[in-house]
Amino acid sequence: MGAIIEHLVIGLAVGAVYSIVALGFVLIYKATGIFNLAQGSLMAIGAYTCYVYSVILGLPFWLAVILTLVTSFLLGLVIEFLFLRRLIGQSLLAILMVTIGIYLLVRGVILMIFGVYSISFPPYLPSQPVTILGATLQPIFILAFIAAALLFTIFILFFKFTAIGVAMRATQDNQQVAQSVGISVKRVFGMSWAISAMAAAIGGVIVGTILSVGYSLDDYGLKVMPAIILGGLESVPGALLGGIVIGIAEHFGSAYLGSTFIGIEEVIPFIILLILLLIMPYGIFGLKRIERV
Amino acid sequence: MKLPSRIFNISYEQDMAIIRTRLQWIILFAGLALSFCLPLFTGTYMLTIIITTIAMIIATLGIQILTGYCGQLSSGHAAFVAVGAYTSALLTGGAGISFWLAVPIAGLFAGIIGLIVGLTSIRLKGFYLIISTLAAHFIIMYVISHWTSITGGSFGLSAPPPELFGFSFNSPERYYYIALGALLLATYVAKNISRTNVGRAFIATRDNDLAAKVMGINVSAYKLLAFFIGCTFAGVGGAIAAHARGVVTPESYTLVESFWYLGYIIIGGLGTITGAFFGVIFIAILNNGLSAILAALSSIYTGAASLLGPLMLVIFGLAIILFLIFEPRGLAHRWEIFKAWYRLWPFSH
Repeated sequence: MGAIIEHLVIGLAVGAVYSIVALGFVLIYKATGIFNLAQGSLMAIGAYTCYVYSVILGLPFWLAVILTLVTSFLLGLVIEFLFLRRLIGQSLLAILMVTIGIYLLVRGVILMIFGVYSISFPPYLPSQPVTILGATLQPIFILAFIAAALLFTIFILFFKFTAIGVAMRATQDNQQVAQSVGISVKRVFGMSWAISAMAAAIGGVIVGTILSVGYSLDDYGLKVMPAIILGGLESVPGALLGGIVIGIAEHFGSAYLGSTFIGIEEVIPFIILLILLLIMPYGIFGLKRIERV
Repeated sequence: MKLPSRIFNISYEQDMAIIRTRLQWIILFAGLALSFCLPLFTGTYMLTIIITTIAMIIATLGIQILTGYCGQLSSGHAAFVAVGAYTSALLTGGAGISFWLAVPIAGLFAGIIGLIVGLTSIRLKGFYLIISTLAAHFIIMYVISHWTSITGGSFGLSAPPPELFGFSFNSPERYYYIALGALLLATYVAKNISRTNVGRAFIATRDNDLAAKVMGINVSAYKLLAFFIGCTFAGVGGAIAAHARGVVTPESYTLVESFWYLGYIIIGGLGTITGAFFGVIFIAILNNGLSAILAALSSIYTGAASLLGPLMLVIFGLAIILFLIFEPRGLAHRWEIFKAWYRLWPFSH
């Protein structure tokens, strides 16, 4: 029993990280209807930006994080303006392929500038692990959990109570109607990419601290997809729940199956994903679209 | 098909013919003669590149049928290529089955795996499908790289060169003809799939699945058929490439590789057989031209050669984005425009 609780706590902490990354996907999908395969790239950019500010420019870490958030916000606006705005109304394939193009582009740029070797942040947290309910955790997981809780509260309130949040929901529901009631759809698109890039940057800094900052951070974004599908593509609370469930499942899988199947934790999310897609593709909180074809 | 002036189709056979005018026949035979003599002009290194490109074109024809014609997005194409490569290597190297039997089996096996993955397409479409094929990619590659007793893990397998009546195709000059023959066969099959009732059903499914179903097309069956055909091509392409290289390792089949296949048909042009050729050849020329330039530069700057991979990613990513923004119908469309201009020259109105 004690071991199960321990695995549960660790899984919960890993899942909190997933849910932060999943939040970025959901934000873009909620407002623009675009499924952004380059979300992991936004994470990698965030982590490397933070590295540049904190290590290369030598700024204190908290300042580096704030500057990273500002940079990511601007970068999100730029990506939307340069690439996605031109494709409004285009086919799904075109939009998906543009995000794949961004993924390849970002990976190439990162490899060109920083090379294949991963780098790490300066230690900014106490190094001794914390024990909760018998589980030994690195402090970064506690931080991830707090960050996830904070971010999700902010975004649930943001979509319910602020004008731009409601405008984003309206845009996702029907772009033409939203435009006719005076919402600037272009501005909503730009804002959602900017905010999503910020969420991704936070995820990138946290994941970069846990693993290390490397070019393969962009694949982490793809690993989060099961979490989004489980929670439902349009749902902010769903992203939280999905992330945590997938984190726990992955950790239990590696704890109990890892000795027989080495590296199984790499594919457990995807196996869950395939099963989910066949049984309930719209997730727990997602909108059910009934199509009979 | 648009024809030059003074040439009219007066029978069904003429209307259906792929090659219609005398110039087209001349180009066909000149092209065939040229490609058969190619090993005389190119060095061994160049020929190796050409063989790899040919194998890629075969696999790209598969994703062209699956994604370009039938509209089923697949981001796991490299995994199916890997299935074909591994099956063929296992059959020839381990079980001692002849190459000529192993390659078709490899294609069929990749097709069957594709069919299983394609089952998700009955219920899913759009980005749900791209996610499910992505998941399939990761699961297939996990099995391949971790089932060490069968696949050799990260060391991979060796794929022996084919033999026919004691004659071994063990050099690029000899193997080239096998690859060329496979390419001609694959192109012929793909072209004819695309213009028969199956191809038209694929296009109807892609353009509007509801309307296709109303017209009596069994959408689910045709989706599965597209997965089967597309992955069979992938498997054959993978097997051809594997025997050319002589060794199969899991790191040749990454997710980025899967994205490249999608990119080839975007750049070449979706829903055309020529598009697969244009996309792969365009990127192959860019890749090898860039590699030559960087090799020349490495005398000035020592790190230049290692920049090739990242630089290609940047160029490829940019190429996909720019083609989608400025020429969504790809190079094949540009080629059609050029042909129309040529046909009407000098009186274009």
